[in-house]
Amino acid sequence: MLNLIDNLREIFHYLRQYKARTAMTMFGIVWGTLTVILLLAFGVGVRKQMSINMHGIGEGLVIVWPGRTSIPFEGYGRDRRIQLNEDDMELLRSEVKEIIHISPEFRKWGSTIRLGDKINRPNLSGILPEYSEMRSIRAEPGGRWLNDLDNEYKRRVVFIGDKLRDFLFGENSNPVGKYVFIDETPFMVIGVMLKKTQNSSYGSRDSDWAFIPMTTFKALFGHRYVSNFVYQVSDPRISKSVQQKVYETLGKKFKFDPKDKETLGIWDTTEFDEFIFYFSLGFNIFMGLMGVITLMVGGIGLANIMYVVVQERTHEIGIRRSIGAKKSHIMGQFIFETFIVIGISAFIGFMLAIGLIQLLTALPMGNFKEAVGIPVFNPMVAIITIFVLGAIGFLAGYFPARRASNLNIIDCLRY
Amino acid sequence: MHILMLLREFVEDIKSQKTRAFLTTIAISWGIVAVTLLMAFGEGLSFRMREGLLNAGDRIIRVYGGQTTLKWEGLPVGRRIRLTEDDCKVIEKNIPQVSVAVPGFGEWVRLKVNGKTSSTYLEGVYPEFEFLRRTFPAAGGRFLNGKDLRERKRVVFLGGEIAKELFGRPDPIGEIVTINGIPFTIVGTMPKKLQTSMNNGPDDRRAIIPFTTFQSIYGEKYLNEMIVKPARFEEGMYVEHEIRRVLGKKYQFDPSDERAVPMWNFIENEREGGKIFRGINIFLAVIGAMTLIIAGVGVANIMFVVAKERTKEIGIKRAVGAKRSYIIFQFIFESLLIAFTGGTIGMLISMGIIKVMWMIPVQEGAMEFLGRPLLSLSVIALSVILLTLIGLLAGLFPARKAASVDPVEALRYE
Repeated sequence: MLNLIDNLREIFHYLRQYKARTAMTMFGIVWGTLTVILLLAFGVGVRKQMSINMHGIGEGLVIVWPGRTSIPFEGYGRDRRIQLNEDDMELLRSEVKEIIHISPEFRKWGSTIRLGDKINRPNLSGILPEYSEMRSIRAEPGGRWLNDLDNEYKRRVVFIGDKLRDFLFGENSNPVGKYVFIDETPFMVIGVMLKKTQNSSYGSRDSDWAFIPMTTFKALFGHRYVSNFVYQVSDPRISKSVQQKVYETLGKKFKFDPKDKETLGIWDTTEFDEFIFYFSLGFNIFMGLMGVITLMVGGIGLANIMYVVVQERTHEIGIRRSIGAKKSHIMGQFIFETFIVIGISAFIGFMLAIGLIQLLTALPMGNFKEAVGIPVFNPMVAIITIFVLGAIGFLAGYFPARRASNLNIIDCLRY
Repeated sequence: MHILMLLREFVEDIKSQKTRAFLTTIAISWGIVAVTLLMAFGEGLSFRMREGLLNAGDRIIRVYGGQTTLKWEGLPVGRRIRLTEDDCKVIEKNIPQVSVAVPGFGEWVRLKVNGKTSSTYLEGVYPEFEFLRRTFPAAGGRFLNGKDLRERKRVVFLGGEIAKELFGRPDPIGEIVTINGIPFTIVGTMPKKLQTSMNNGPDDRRAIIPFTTFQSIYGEKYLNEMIVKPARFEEGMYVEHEIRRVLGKKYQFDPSDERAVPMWNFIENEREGGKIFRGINIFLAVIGAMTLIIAGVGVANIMFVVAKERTKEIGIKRAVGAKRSYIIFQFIFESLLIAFTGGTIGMLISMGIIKVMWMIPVQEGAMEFLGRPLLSLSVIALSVILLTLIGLLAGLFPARKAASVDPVEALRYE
């Protein structure tokens, strides 16, 4: 214990004696730490933002459009139309366990939505309540999404996108409870979609969309077959095999070849998840490597100075050894000193990085943030940084310390 | 003469302090590796992204029919605006800043060959489409031409992916494919291209026929879209406004009504994207530069040590008549030499790494963007400038300290 304090006092005395040198050495480590953290945090932020942008349309979402057969099967010719209704969705729900949500989508083009003399032709869909779960649709406070009772009683209620609301009722107004006309039928607005970032879509962006209960849609427009349906799988990684099961299940019922991809047009948005995963993995590894290089440059500077220190203190080492200090003492002393320098510098680096990230978070840079996100400081980033710091500190301390401890006592004293 | 002597002294010094010289040089090398790789990576990424966008639309504006959302001259909102082929001529005639305006039809169809069927998006276009949307033909084929258009030929240009799907090879030139039951001769296919922005699937899966042929088969009057290319891309925004003004006059809608004729402005997209990538590149360059500065500080640190160690030597030199400037010059010379030696090594390492990365074959997906760093001249120039600056500064301060020593004191120094 006494030894440690003694050691510390010695180190600080020494560091103070060489202020400029110490400051410059520490600068390298401080900046290196800052760089590692910033680069890693930046990578995490990019990944998060890409994911948010992509998942605007929905998470783990698969969209399916019925098509025509293109391969003759069991005596049937090709070019048969595959037409599905909501019962087939229920069949899929019970047959394919990996599907956690599924909803038919009845759609119609050219229907008008009107309030007074304001007319618009939005995308109009009739769907089941669980649709919102899959498509990341949330209601603004004060409104609600469609529920089971709406569907059961064929209620004339409509949920509208935020842009559609802006057009019909004026920006940021609350239209819940008011009536609009869909074609010639009055519908009550029950909710407005909470604004979201969305960078892919089918039909149009959800902000321009109007949703009504499936049963209402069917009763009103007399559609029998779905335009498309959407489902969500429990885990994006098994999406490919779930697709196969969808082909098989419906193929059995409608007698088409499960290998006939023309029967169902499938857009699997989880393929983008894979892209995002590999892109951000590559991006983060690259960023991390660059950060490590920077820190290493700082570490090399430190090692270099430690060698100088060893040289300068040769005489001192000789005296210590001759009055009984062991090799391990000398070694410990130098490694300890290295770690003190690294520890203080790393602490400053961490503080700077956290401050800078907070500053970036607070700065308004709308467009830029929407594209690349903001750096995120998380435990993972901290752990990696500390690990790298430890490794570099050890290397930067070990080699000079080894040289110091291996010096010949007689030579040292003569130096 | 002087230089040779300095060089010899430098070499002697290095020999006596091998570890130190090695570490200092290596630090600079690493710094240069970081700086060049970071910038090359950023440049490669933004080049790819830009390429992907330009491949979807080469500085064009795609104009669609829409519906009015603003009242105008006593007319109500919600009126449909639909574009026709004539509108393209109107635009070309009335807006001198427009170099081309061409119409396009579109429809989902089924292509068939020997029992193989594939659904895809069919477009009916003018020959200019080739340059506007970068659908360049692979060797051995051609894009649609003026004659095809005039004679309403039943010829089709296919994306490489769909050609491969139907024929099992990417170049079925001269073969017949039926589109919704009507036979068409394939005149060309498109090699695979990087495309980051798309609607109705990528161009790799398109089937493209002459505008007139499409019109006579499907009897369409209203366009799916109109493609407008401004003569100078700086005027993209102006042209967009002019299109609304000209069409607004013809169809009587408010020129500020953006939904009457929605537009997809690739020029604006490119500008927006460019801004973001410039931001990323600056971020990466700053990080890289700071790495190099750390290395530079390391050099300066060591030069200070050297200055101290050589105090006596400097004293002797000064005593026998060496000027201050000579001492300063010697230090700067040494630190520059270290910087450039390390820099050259670092640059070679970077080039090697980039070369190896380019040799790794990439499939579609993330590595298409990440695995292709670009070491451009500006990156190299910037690194060399930084390196020189750092070498100079890292030498200057220790040199000043060394030179300011009083010769008498220096001689007494132990």
